[in-house]
Amino acid sequence: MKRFLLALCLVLPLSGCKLITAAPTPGVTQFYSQAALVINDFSGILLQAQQLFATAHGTGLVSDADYAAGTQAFKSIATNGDSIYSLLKAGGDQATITAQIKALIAQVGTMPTAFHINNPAAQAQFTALTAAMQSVLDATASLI
Amino acid sequence: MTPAEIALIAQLLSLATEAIAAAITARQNLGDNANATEQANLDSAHANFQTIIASANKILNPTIGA
Repeated sequence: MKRFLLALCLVLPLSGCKLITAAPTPGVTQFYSQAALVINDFSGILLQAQQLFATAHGTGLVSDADYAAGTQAFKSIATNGDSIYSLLKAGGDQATITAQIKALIAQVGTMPTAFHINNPAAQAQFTALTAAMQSVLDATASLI
Repeated sequence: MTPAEIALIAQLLSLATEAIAAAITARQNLGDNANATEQANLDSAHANFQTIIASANKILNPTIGA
């Protein structure tokens, strides 16, 4: 009986340790949750920016050629953003997701060159907006 | 400056402010645990990206789907 109790005392803490290690790592779970929030915020802002860009074109502040170039930039960024969505949805590798987010941050930085809004104040605001969008994405990239 | 230009600048300013607020919130939430809205956020993001792509396709290729 003494041996049994002694064995039990040895096994219980070990099983306790096993339970702790089997639990989800907080940092890993947090990454996907946080990345989902950030990507959703980013997608909403990008959608509004695209609509404002169309408004700028409609009011004559953006030429047809620049509108086509800007529209292509929005499409490319949204396509790459959707790839990140797919990776997050599938629980993909964090390093790969982070690398894609960093690439998206760089791509967003090229947007002002595609805009060419014929109003300095509006152009400055679009540029400020791209910097803010980069900052939104950076919140996730900095998780690792 | 025309009223349309003023309105556009105001909207851009508002959107940039909103984006900065989102970035600040995201950083503040870094310490939070997983939440139940993760899948809803992902689905919403996917819908937004698809809307942007569809809209861009319509502008770049107006004859497709017409």
